[in-house]
This record gives sequence, structure tokens and C-alpha cells, in this order.
Amino acid sequence: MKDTQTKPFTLDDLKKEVEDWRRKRPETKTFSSFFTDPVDRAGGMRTLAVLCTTLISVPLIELANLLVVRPSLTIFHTTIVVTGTITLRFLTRPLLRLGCWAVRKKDKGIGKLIYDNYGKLLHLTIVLLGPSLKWYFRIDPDDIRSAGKFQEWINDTLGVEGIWVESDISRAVRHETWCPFVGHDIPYDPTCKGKYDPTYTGDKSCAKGCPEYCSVLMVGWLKDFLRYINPDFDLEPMKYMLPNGDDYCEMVYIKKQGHMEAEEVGG
Amino acid sequence: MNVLIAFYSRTGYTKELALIIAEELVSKGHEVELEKIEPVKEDNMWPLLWRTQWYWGALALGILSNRYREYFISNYRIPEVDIKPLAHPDVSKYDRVCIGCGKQTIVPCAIEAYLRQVKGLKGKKVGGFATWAGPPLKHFEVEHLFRPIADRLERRGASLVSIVGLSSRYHEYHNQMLNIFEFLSRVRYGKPISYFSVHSDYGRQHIKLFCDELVKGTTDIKDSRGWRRSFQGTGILGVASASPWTTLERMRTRFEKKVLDKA
Repeated sequence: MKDTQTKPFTLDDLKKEVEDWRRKRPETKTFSSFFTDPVDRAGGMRTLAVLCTTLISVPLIELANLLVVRPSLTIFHTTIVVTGTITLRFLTRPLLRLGCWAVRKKDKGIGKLIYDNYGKLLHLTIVLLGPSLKWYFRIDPDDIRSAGKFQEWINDTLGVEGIWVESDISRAVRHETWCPFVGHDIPYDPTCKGKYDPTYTGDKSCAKGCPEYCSVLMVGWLKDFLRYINPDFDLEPMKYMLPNGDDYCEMVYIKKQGHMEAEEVGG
Repeated sequence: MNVLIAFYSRTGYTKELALIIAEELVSKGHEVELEKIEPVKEDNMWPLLWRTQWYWGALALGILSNRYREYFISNYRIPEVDIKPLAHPDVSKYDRVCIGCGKQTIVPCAIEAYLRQVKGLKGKKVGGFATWAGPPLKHFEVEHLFRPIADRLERRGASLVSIVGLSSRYHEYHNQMLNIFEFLSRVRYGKPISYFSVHSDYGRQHIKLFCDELVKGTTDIKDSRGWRRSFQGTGILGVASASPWTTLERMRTRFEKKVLDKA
């Protein structure tokens, strides 16, 4: 790079440029113009062919890379994995949304049916995936912190944001600070500006909603998993919840004292 | 407070956002200077797509596996381009620095070159602003753009303290891309893209919030977004691949147990 400095660009210059730009701002082209462009121009049919070939071939190359890096994965196995992952990845959110819907419609009809059986459905996922989850997350049955990886994974899949504020071998506390369901799928007073707007600093008490989904179904799911890992692991009842107008949902993981004492006595 | 706003804008939308942010800061009594980052040779949209074509396969895998996505975001390489000489090559005299760009699938090459060339970043509090076509998707937009920038700033001794990303509602690669983003926006947030645009209520509030946080300089985006931790969990890819493996392991254990018991 040359050391010569260019003329400073002032705020007035920027204002003028933006004003000019606003008069002739670029608009998004339509799909038909993609086909009607001349062949010899960038954006013509030839480019489309190159683009399609690239889009198709690159994932295949990546897949081949994956197979080379992990030779233990056979083609058959990989096919099952890829199919299964896509299905599960895309079904997780609708599945949880179904639960949100069922909580609202739990009084009668199909909503009641789903609500009554939703816990069993979640329990089934633990029965089926529990061993794999435990193995893959490398969960230590004596360490409550490592069991929290399951919740991290759920949060990551759903887009929930949270942090661990306490992390000990027998007690861990997680604060979930933002949840895509609150205010959207988990109902709250629609006239309240407080919950879904991160810049709102006023009274949030009007954002009280329906915390049952989290406090009953989700917590039940996590408890199922924790008990599968170690019967002494548990979750404390939730005190703070986003749908109640609090700043975060607090999940307190505990390891029951009885277990510790037994361990100490045992040696 | 003396603030430098450095921005790279290809289509003009980021330039407009830079102006709005500059006016907001000036209205609060801060002094603002500007740095327009320009590549020596500006590509049109097709070479740009070609240059990032390797990314699309990685993106597909990133959807399948969180672990791969984390790895990819931390390690992807940004092609090098030459940029025109800077008007403010040393930023040590400024209290705050803002860096703005559009999202070009990855961090724009010009921004990479700027971060490499600019001097005096050590100890600086930096704000990042950007425009993109769709809604502020947590991973695809926000993390893919700002996390590599935060990493690079950290290596230079600076820290990212404030970010804002808004929708330009413009995509160079035709309307269909916007339709996809519109669909994602409605599925993810239950709101149209226009809700997240620069001139919307959301946009105005977040620009104000961005400026306030930039001036305060107390937030570390890497901490608050959880970008500092090394990812210990896994993607569903790992879970699904573990399932058949675990089943086989259990079958083998049971078989051995039976055989051993009989023996």
C-alpha cells in the first residue's frame, strides 16, 4: 500500500453522495431478467449454468472431504446421517411450536390430545436418543455441568440465547436471555410493547404470558434427560421466566445432597 | 468524543446507514470523521459470487452441524484485495471507531484489507454496523459477519463493543433470494423483512441503541453473544451419527455378556 493519504471524506460529502444515491438506488432484478439478459453478458444463461454446476458440485466435494477425513463413515451410514439430520434439524422447531400451540388449546379437541401426550413424546426422544446424546456430549454422570450441554444444544438449535452464570460440579445456573418463542408462540398481552422489543426499558409486567410451556413441558424434558444421566440430578422449579416479564429464564441444575453424602460415606 | 466511521459500501445501502449513524452521533454532540474504504478494482456481482463459491457447500454442512459451523466461522479465509490509500491510516487519535460494510456472504474482502492495514487499533472500542438483504438471522447473518470481525479486532488488541445489522431489502442476485429471506423472516420472527429495515421503527431504535452502547463502551460483544467460548456441544449431525454407533456398541456388549455368561 502507498503511504500517500487521500483527501478526507467529510459528512457533507457523504450527505451529497447519499442524496444522489437515493435518486438512483439499485433495485432488485426479477427472475425473468435473469433469462432475458444476453448470453455474452455476465448474468446470462451461461453464467446460470456455471452457477448451477457450482451449487451442485460443491456440496458433493464437501461430502467427499468428510468421507476422507472420517473414513469410518460409510456411504450408507452417511446417507442415513444426512437424511436424519436434515429431518431432525427442521422438525425440532415445528415440534416445539406444536407444544406451544397445544398449551393454548389444551382445553378441548385435538389440542387437549396433543397436550396430554406431548410430555410422552418428549420423553420418547430421550428414550431413543438418550444413550447417543450422553455418548456424544461426553457427559460425565457425576458432573452436573456437563449435563448442561444438552440444553446448550437445544438452545443452539432453536436460537435461544443464554449464558451460564454459575458452573459447579454439583450446581449450575443458566440464564436464558432471549427466546424466539416468547411473544411469538408463547402468548402474552398483545398490547404490551415490553417483551419482544429489546430496546424497551419501561414496565414489563404487562408482558405476562403463558409460562406453562417452559415451566412444565420443557423443564419436564430436561428433567427426563437429567434423570436418565443420573437419578440424583434435578432442576429446581423456575423462579424467573421471560414470559412472566422477568429479564431471563433461570434454570438451576442441582445434584441432590443425598448422593454426595453417600459418596462421601462410601469413600 | 471523537469518532471515526469507516465504511465500505458496494451498492449504497451501507453508506446510507453510515450517514444515519453519523447524524445520530453528531446530534449527541460527538465529533465524527469519515473513512470511505474503496477497493482499487470493484468487482461486479458475478466474480463476487464465484470468489465465494467454496462457501456454499460449507454453509450447507453448517446447517447440518453446529460444530462444523463454529469451526468454519473461526477459520474461513477471506480473499485479499487491494484498497485505495486511506485518509485516516492511523486511528489512535479517535476515542471510538465504527466499521461498516454489507454482508457479502462472508466478511467483505475490502474490510479484511482495511483491518490489516489500519494502525493504532490497540485498546480501541469498536462498533460494527452492516446491512444485508434479509432479517438479522442469528447465525447466518450476525455471527457469520461480526464474529470474524470481532476475532480480527481482538488479535489487533481492540474489542467490538456494539453491533447493529439491518435489512437493506435489496439483493443483487434477483428477487428470488429476497423471497427466500422473506420466508425465513416470517418463519423465524413472524415478521416481514421490512420490519428490520433501516428506516423502520426497529431500525431507528437499534441505531440509537448502537450509538449508546458504542459511546458507553462497556459491552464486550464476544462475551455477551457467547462467541468467546470454544464450542463444547455438538450438532445434530453428531447426535445422529452417534445413534447407530451406540446401538451397535450396546448390541456388541449384550452379545459379549451373553457369551461370557454362558461360558
